[in-house]
Amino acid sequence: EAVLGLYFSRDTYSEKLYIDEPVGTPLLYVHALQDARGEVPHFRLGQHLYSTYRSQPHKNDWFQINEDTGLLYLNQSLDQRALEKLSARNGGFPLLTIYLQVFLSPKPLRESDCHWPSCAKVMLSVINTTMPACSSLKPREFCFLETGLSFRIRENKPPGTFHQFRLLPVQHLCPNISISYQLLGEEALPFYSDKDTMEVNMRHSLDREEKEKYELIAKCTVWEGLREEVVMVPFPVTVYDEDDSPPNFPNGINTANAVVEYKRKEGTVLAVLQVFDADVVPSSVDIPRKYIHTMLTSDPLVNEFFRVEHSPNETSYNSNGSRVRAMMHDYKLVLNRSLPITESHSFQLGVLVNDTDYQGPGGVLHLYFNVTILPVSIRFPNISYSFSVNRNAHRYAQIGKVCIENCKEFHGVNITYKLQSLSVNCTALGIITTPESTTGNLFVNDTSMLQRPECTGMKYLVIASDRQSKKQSRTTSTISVEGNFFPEEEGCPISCAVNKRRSECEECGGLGTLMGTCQWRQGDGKGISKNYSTCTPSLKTCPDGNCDAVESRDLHICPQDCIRGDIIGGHERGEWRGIKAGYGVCNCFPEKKKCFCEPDDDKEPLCDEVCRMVI
Amino acid sequence: ARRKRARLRHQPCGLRELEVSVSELGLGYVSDETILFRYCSGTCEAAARIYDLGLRRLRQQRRVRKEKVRARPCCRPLAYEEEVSFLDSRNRYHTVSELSAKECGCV
Repeated sequence: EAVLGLYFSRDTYSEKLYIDEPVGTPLLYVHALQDARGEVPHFRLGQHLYSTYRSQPHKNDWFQINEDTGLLYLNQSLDQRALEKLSARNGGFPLLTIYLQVFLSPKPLRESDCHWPSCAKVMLSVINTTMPACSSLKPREFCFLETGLSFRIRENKPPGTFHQFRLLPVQHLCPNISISYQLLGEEALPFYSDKDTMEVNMRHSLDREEKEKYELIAKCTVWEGLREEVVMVPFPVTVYDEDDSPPNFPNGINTANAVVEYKRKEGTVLAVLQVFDADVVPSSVDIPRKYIHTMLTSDPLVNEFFRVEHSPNETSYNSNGSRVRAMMHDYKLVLNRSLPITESHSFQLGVLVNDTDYQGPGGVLHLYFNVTILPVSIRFPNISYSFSVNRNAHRYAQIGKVCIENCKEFHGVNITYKLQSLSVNCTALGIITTPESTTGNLFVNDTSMLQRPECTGMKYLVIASDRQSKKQSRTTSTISVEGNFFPEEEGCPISCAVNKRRSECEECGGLGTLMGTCQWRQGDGKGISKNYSTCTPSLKTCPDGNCDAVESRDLHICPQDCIRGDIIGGHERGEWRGIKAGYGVCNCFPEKKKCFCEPDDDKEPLCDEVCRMVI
Repeated sequence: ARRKRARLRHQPCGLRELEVSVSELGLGYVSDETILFRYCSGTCEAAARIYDLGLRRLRQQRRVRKEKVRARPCCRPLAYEEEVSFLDSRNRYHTVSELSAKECGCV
């Protein structure tokens, strides 16, 4: 944590350095700005010269700084020999840049942590020639360096001088060139440059919440005899933020209502309250430590089942025609655990939000969540289910779904369905619970029962129960068996998906077929598509991109949705399993855990030692 | 040309390679990327076993008629390249395994 105090107006200064420049050549000024009035900077150079590749630093024998003015100058000429000595330490890389560190604190710091605001780097581009003659320099070279300018100024701090336009080495060696500088930009800007000293100053302190970036233009005019040259470069100033605004509620909303009914799953977001803060400090790294929220409750139930999640996002607002960044903090009330269905409760939860960086009044806010937890009951709709099943249906044929009231709304409630046969010896059906949609899937479990004359009309009791509360609901379901039985074709595969042609597909049965025969899906034949041709027990459920609870019982039912093994040919895999898209016809061999997707080309000439060239 | 054909016919079974675009493979993938497709080709006459001679004779005598039988060894990959990935025209990646042969042999 840096102690506030004086700070540099830039984090990096640069200048060119030629060989054999005379002793006393001024290089540049560094500038420090005040944190409080009356502070006086004392500049201090680091002990070492560094090169860009973190090789061994060299002791600084050439440069000195004026402690009070911040003027960096040569106190010993850098000659060819010295350069060779420095280059030798550069790990074999050519020496292009050396840098020094300038500190603002009088007490010697560890040199390794040179960070803005209390330390700045001075980069010196080493040029392996002597200074060129004044006449050979271009106007641009008298005015600005190639490295761009950019400045950092903290808001709410006393104004001060933060830049010196003059390039000291050039002007020191070519005193006859006359130059003037000017700042262009909007009127009434808080910056001005002094004609005589060529320094840039501030008129008053700045406020980031008003304007965050000043895009100025520095103009330099050079007169060489009668010739006049103008050079312009961008001169951006960034205003640095401090925590000077308290958090507040956008639109004054500090209360949100939350109702917990069917969605009781852990992680459900129940309500969101927003807190606006015009500051962009603390930074995102520090926000969790400095933006603290506390749930004001002693109720163990609330603490166990609810939590508040804080997510800060950067927004921006308009201030006199310029965009200024700000923070919007979202406070979400989230279920910490799945709530039992019997729970019924209502309460107000207060949340205290504290912007600890803010030193004024109003840094603490109160958020209120009015929470109502409603109990939900497990109830079947007031009807008896009736389904019909074809006598030729195969095992795992899906004949219908049962579902408690509002079952589509339920989240985080564990419902299981069970069947009890009310007609003795007719246990033809089974039921499987689909956990994600809390429905029960009725399917044929024993096909031999469908042939029995006493089982033409079956009655079942369907029981839905909540695993957690053991609450139950019951209803009845009648099943009528319809159609005439006709025996199975010879030599048909167990799985519909094995068939590759429409004719084979429609004359065979397979696991999961409702009427005893498989169904053919004709695809669109457009490359690798979701709508591929395939043979399936039931077009309603397979392939639909979802390996449902019944299909996952046995890979033979619908490998198109459930395969995890190899898919050979042009295809796209489903996210978890199955074939999402295929090329041509997709057929599968469940025993081998393999599927094939390829167009069915009957007419492909078979040319395998059979064809002979007929001349 | 005939000389060349004759020479090719007696090339022993081995790896050949071909630079093809993914679309040319006709798998349904649309992509302009080219891949190196290695395949097995060549004769396997020298690899015939007495099994092959016996089976051929039995087939001539119509003792083996119903099923498809192969009475000569065949030049096939013994190992395949692990994976080939490419980007298709809709900017999606696909990875196919065992597309290209790595090693050939008479089986």
